[in-house]
Amino acid sequence: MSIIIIDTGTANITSVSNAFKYLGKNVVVSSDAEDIAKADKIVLPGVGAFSYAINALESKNIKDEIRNSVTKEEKPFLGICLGMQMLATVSMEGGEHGGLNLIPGRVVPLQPEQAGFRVPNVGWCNVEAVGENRLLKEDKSFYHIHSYYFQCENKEHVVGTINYSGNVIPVMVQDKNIFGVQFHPEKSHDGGLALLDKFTNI
Amino acid sequence: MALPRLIPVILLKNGQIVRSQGFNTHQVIGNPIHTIQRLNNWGVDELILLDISEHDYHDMRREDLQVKYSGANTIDLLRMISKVSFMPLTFGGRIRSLDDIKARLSAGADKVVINTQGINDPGFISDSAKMFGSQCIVVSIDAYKHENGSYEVMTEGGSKSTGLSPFEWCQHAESYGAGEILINSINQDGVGAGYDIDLLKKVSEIVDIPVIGCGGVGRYEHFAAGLMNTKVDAVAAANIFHYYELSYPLAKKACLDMGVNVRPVMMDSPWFPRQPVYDTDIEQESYDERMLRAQNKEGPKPLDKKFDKVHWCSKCVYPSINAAPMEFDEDGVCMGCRMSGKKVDIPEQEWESRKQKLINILEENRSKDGSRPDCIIAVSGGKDSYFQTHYIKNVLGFNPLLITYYGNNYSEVGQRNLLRMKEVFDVDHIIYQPSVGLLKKLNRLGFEIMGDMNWHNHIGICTIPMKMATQLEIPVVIWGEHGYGDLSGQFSMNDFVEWTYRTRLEHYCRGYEWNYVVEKNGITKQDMSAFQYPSDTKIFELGLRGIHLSNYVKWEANEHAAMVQEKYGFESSDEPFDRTYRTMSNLDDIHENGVHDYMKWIKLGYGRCTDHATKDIRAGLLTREEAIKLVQKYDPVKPGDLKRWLEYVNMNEDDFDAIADTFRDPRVWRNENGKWVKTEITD
Repeated sequence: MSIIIIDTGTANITSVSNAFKYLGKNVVVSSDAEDIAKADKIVLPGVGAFSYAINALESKNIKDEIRNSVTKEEKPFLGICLGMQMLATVSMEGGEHGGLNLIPGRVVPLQPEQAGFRVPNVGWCNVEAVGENRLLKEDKSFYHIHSYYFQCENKEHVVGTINYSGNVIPVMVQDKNIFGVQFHPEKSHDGGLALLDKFTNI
Repeated sequence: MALPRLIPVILLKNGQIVRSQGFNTHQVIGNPIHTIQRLNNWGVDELILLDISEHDYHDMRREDLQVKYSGANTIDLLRMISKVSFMPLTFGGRIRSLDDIKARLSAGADKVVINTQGINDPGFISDSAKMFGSQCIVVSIDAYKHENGSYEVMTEGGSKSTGLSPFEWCQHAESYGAGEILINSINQDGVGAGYDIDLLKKVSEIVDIPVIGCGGVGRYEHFAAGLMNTKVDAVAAANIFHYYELSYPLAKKACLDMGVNVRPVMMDSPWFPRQPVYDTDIEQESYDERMLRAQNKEGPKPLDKKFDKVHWCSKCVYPSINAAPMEFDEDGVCMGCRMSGKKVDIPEQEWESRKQKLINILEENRSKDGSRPDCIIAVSGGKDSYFQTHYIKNVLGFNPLLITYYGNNYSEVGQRNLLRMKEVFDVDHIIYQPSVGLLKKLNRLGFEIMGDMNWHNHIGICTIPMKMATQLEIPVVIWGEHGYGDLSGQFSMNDFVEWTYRTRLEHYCRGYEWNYVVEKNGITKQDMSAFQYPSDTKIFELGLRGIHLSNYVKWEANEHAAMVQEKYGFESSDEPFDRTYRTMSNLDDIHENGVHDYMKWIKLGYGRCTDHATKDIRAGLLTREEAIKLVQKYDPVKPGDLKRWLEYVNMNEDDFDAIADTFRDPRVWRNENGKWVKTEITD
C-alpha cells in the first residue's frame, strides 16, 4: 500500500510524512499526476493561505486527477488543516476562491463574540466525535491552529466539532471515502497518530 | 476554548541543550534528542526551541554513544527532532530573513519566533505574516524591569537596550501581523521565584492574539499561578523541566490539583515506548563494519576535515573533547571549575537549611506504620556509600535499606568493605547478583559495541535500586554526589538536581537501553529483566524520587574518607592503582579504574587521573603544574587488570587492541607511521 502526500509547497509536509513513516507506512511526497494515479491513498496537507495552495494544485494541473481518484476510483482521501478547507466549494480567505468542491460548503473566518476567544485559534481543543465518525470513536483533544473554518452545507458531513465562542464549529468532515480534519493529527501525539493509523487502515 | 498550554522551552547552544541564568550563564545539560523524546513521552502541549548559538556549526560525533547524529547545524538538528516528536514545535533564534523562516518550517517547525529582527525591521513581521500566515509568526519580547518599576524591551539575547516599552511594542507587533506573543521577563530568568505576574497580566490584556508567558518558574505551582492570575493562553518554562523525573506530568498534575483545566497527564503511551526502538539492520551493519576495521587494523572511521581542535580548561586539566559535554567561559575556564567555586561559596547557614530540606523530604516519605524501611540507599560499598549510610542512619536517624548491584568484578578489599556494611551500620542490605554467564556476555558486548565493558555496571547500578524501590514501595532513593554533572558543571547548586531516566539513559548508559542487547549472543528479554527500569506510571504513582545527598550536605570527599576509615573500619586499597594516584576510589570494580578507564584514554585521550587531578585542583590540593605531571604519567598506562578481563571474556590482547583502536576519536588521535599520537596539554 502506498500513500501519496501531495506537495503543495506549504510547510507541514515534513511533519505529515514523518508521522506516516513513524507508523511504518510507505509515503511518496509528490505533486505529480502520475504518482496520484498510482497511489492507494491520498493525503493533502497544508498550512498558509488558501489561494496560494489552491493555485499550486491548479498550476500543477492535478485538480482533476485528485477529483477523479477520489470520486471515480473512491480512493481514501484525507485533507489536513488547509487541505481540509480545500475540500470546500469556496473559501472567503483573502477574497473569494473556489475549492475542490468535494464536500459542499464555505470556508469563513472565525469571529469570536465572547471574551477569551482569540484569532487565530491556537492550541488544544477537545473534539467531540459526532455521527458515523470513522476516524475518531471517542472525544479527544487535538492541536488546532487556524483563523478560518469549514461551514458544511450538509450537516451529515460533519463528524467532529469543537466549541468556539459559544458556537459549535465543524473540525472533522467526512463523506464516504473523503475525510478532512481542521486540526493537526501529525502534531497531536498519540491521539493524532491513532487517527492517522485508522485512516491508513481504511 | 483552547485549553491553556504548558510549554517547555529548550535553549540550544552549539547543538546541545543549555541551562540559562540571567541570560548570560549557560551550562550544558545534554543532547536534545533524549530530552525531546522524553517530552514526547509525556505528551507536551507544545515545545519551544530557541537556538542561542553564536555560530551555525556544531559537532556531536561520538562513536561510543547511541544517538549518532551526523548533522552539523541548527536545521539538521530540527529535522532530527521532528522525526522523534509529534507535537507542535515552535523554533526561534537567529532568524533574519524570509528564507530562514522557510528553512525552519520545512524542517518541521510549525511556528517561528522572531525577536531582534522584528525590532530592527518591523516590516519583516508583516512580510513574514503575509508569506507564511500570521498563525506561524510568534513575536518574542524580552522585557527588563528597571529599578523604578518601568519595563524596557531588550534585544540581542537581553544585552541591548531599545528604549521601547513592551506594552507598546506588543500592540505594534500585533498590528504588523504577529499571530502570538511570547513575553519573557529577563529579571526572573533562572531565578525560580515565579512569573512576573504584572508583566504577563498587562500584556495579555492589551492584545487580542494569544500570549505565552515565560520566565521564573521554580516550582510546579507557579504554572497555575501564571494561568489563574493573568489572561495568558500558555505558560512556558525551561530549567524546571530538565532536572526532575516526570517534571512535565507533575507540572500538569499541579495545575489540575489547583483547578486549572489543562490537557490530562500522559505517560506510557503505547504509541511512544520510552525505551528506544533500534533499527537492528543498521546497528548490525555498523557492528560488522567495526569488526572489519578491527580485523584490518584500520582504527577509527575517519571524520570529514571540519572539526574543532581539542583545547583544555585554563584552570583544571579537562579537555574540551570530553566524556561529558563541556562549556567554557570567555576566560577559557570550564563550567565545572566555575560551579565548584559556587559550591565553596555556599555559607554554613545555607548548608543548615539544605540539611533541613533533606530532613523534610525524608520525614515526609518515612514509613509511618513500620511496614517498610524509610528509604533506600544505593551503595557500592565504597567510601561514599559508607558516608551516605553514616549520615542517613547515624546522623539523621532514619532506617535505610541498602541496595547493591554486584557486577562480579569486586576487588578483595572492595568486597570486604561491601559485606561489612550490614554489620557496622546494623542495616539490611540487598545485593543483587546477576548470573555470571550473562555478565560475561554483557562485558564482551559492551566492549565491542560501545568500547565500554562496564556498561552492564552502569545500567545495573542505575536501575536495580529504582526498580526495587517501586517493587518494595519505598518512595525515596538516595544517591551520593551528582558525580558527572558535577565534574562538568551541568547544574547550579540551586537546582537540587534529582535522578532521572534521561540522565540514566543518556549519560550513564550512553544511549544504550537494556533492549539493545536482546537477541545478541543468545541474550533473552527475560535475561535482562533486572535491567528494565520501572515504568513512568509506577514512578508517578509511588511518587518515587532519587535525590543526591551532595545537594544537601557539604561534600568533603577526603574528610569523609578519613572519617569512615576511623569510625567504621573502611579499608582503602592496599596496592596503588595503575592509572591514578588516588587509592580509595572504585574498589567495587577492579576494571573501573583499570581497563574500563583505559578505554576512555583510547577514545578521548584522557583518563581517571585527569578526573582526580581536576577534583584536587578545584579542592586546592594540587596546582595545575603538579596535576599535568600526574596526568602525563598515569593517563597512558595500559593496566594490569586487562589480563584478568581478557581471560574472563575469552579474548586475546591483539584483538582487544584492534577493536579498541576503532573507538579512537579522530579529533583527538592521529596515526603517524603506525603509532597513535595526540595533541598534548603542554603543546
